[in-house]
Amino acid sequence: MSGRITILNQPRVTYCGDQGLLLEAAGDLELATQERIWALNEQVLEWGGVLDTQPGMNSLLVLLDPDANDVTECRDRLLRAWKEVRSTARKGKLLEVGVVYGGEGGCDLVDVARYHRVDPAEIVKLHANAEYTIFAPGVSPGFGYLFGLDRRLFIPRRDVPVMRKVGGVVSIAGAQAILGPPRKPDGADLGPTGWHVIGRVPDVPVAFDLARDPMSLVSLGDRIRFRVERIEK
Amino acid sequence: MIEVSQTPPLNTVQDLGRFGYRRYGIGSAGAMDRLALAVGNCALGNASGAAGIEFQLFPVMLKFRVDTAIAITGADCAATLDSLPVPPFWVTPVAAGQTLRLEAPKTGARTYLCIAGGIDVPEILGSRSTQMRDGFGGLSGRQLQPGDILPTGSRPALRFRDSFGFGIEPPDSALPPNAHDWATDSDIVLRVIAAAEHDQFDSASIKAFRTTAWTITPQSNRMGYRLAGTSLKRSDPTEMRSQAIVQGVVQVPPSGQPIVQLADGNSAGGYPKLAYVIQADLWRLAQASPGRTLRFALVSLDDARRARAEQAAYLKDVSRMSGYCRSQVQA
Amino acid sequence: MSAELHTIATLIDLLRAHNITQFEFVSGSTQFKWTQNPADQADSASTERLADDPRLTEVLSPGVGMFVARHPLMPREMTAIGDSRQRGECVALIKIGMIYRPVLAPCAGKIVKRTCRPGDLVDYNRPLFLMQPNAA
Repeated sequence: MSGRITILNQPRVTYCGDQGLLLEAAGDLELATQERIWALNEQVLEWGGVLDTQPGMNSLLVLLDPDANDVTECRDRLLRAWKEVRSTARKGKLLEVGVVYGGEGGCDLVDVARYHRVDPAEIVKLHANAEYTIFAPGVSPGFGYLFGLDRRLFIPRRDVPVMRKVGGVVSIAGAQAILGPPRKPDGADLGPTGWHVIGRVPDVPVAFDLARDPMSLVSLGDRIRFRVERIEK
Repeated sequence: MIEVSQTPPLNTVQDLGRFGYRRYGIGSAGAMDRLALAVGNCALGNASGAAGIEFQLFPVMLKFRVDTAIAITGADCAATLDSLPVPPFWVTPVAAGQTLRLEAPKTGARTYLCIAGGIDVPEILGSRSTQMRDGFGGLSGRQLQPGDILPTGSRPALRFRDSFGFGIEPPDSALPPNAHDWATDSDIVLRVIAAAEHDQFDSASIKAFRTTAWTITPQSNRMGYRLAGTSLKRSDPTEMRSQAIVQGVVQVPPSGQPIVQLADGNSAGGYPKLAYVIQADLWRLAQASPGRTLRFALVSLDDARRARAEQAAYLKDVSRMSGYCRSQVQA
Repeated sequence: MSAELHTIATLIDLLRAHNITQFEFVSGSTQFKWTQNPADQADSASTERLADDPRLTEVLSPGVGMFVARHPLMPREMTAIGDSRQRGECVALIKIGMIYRPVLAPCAGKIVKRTCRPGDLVDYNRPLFLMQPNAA
C-alpha cells in the first residue's frame, strides 16, 4: 500500500447494500467537514423511514427501510442535503488519559519509529502533543475513530493483520488514531488488528455500559488527550 | 419452555437483528438465514421477527417442557421428534416431554427452530439477537450450553389440521433459482451490485471477480466469509478512511482475497468495497458451507428490488396458506 | 386446489377403478383426453391382487393434492419398497400449492407396494401404499 489516502474531488453518494446509501465528502479529513457530517446525520434521522445511520471518517451511511423509502430517490435527496447542510459547531467534553508508551503494551512503537526514521521518543512526543476529536463510531462500543493525528505520524495499515493484546490500546493507522476500550472480564486477551499499537492506557475508563445512563461515556465531537506516563523499552 | 439437553458451541438465540445502534459501534447480529427464520415464524403465526434458535453445529437435543408448536426451517438436519423423522421446513405440534433431535446437515449449513410465542429472552436495545462479541442479547449474551432452559412467549394453543403438522415449500424450490449457463449445478450464484470502489480495481480483477468460482474457506463464520481464488488488485491502491460496513459487502483486503461481511461482522472498516451481495441472496450464502464454490452475478438495483418483492410475496403466501393448516384455539 | 382439478382427479380415479384404459370427452370448447399407461395397467392389476390380501393395510391420502415421494430438499424418496416404518411415521407428502400434508403409516410394518406415482393428483382416502403390518 502506498500510504497515500483516498481523497475525492467531488462529494458522492453510492449504494451500499440495496437498502443503504454512503455519502462521501470531498477533500481531506477536517473538523469543519466532519461537523457538517454530524449535522447531516441529525437531519437524516428526522427523515422517517431510516433504520439507522453511521458517520464515518468523511462519510455517512444511511440505512433505509425499503418499505418506506426508495434508495434511488433518497440518493439525490442525500446529496442535496449534504451540499446545503451547515454545521452546528459543538465543543465536546475533554477526556484525558495516561499512556504507557512502548514496552510490551505498545510493542509496535519501535517499528513505527523505524518507519519514520526517528527515535521512539519523538513518536511519543508527536502523538501526545495533539488533541484528538472523536469523529466516528468504531468497530465496537468504545471511543470511536479519532482525528488529529500529526501528519508526520501517518503510517499505512498493515497488509496482514496481527494479534495484539486488547484493553486500553493506543494505536494508529492511515491518518487515524484510536483508543481501545477496556478488556471485557470474560473476553478474549488477544484480537487481530491491522493497526500499529504504540501504547496502552492501564486504567482506561469503561466506554460503554448498557446499565449506565447515558450508555456511552463519550459522544461524537468529544476530545481526548494522551498524557505520557512513561516510555518503556 | 425448552430444555437444551445437548448442544455443541455456536448455537444462539437470534431474531431478525438489532438496528438503530450503529452510533455505538453495535452491529446488527441476527439470523444468518433471515428468510428461514421468517418462514418458520410466519408458518406458526408469530411475528416474522420473533426470536428463534440458530443452529450451526450438531447434534442437538432439545426437550419440550410444555405443549406447544414448532417450526424447523433452513438446512435439512434429519430432525426426529421422539424418533419419528420430521421433514425439513416442517411445522408441528409438540407435547410436553417430547424430545427433538437434530443432526448435522448434509447440504446447507444452518437450521432454525421457531416456536409458538417466540423465544422469550429479554429484549436488549430493541432485539433478542445474541451479540456475542459484546456479550449481550439472546440468552445472556452467549451461545447455548447443555442444561440451558429457554423461556417461550405465551400464545393461545394452536390446533393443527393434521396431527403430524404440515410442510412449507422451501425457498430453494419456491423462489426462482439463480441459474446461469456459466455456473455449474454445485456453484452457488449470488447476485451482487457494484460498490463504491468497484472501478478502482484493474480490468483483469473486475473480470476475475465475475468469472472465478470462489471457494469458501474454513475461516468463514458469522462474522464473514473468506473466499479463495484469483488475487484481486486495484490499479492505484490508496489508503481508505474508516467508514460504515453493511452486511453483504464484499471487501478486498491487501491479500487480494475477498471477504463478505456478514451478521456479526465489524460495523466499520477501511478495506475497499468491490461489490455487495443483494439482501435477497444473503440466505443462499448463509446456507453455503466451507468448501462450496460461489459465483457472482452483477445485477441492477431493479433486479434487487424485484428479488426483495418476490421474497415478500413468498412470505405472505406462507402466512396465508399456513392459516389453512393451523388455527388458534379460541379461549 | 381448484374445483376443476378435483373433478378431474375424481374422474381419473373412477376410470381406473373401472379398468377403462382410454377416455375422451369433447363438449364445445372443452376437451379432455386420458390414456392409461400400459405399465399402470400391470400395476393396477397386481395392486388389486395385493389389495385383496386381507393381511395388507392400505396407506391412504389425507386429502386432495399431488402425491410427492421426495421432498425437494432431500436427495432420496422418503420411502422405498421394503422399508420398515413406525406407526404414525411420515412416508410421503401430498402437495397443495406451497403446503405439504403428511401421509402417515397407519401401523408399524413394511412397505410392500406403492400404488400411485409422483405427480399423480390424488383424492382424499386414495390408497397410496400397501403395508404388511408387523406381527401383532
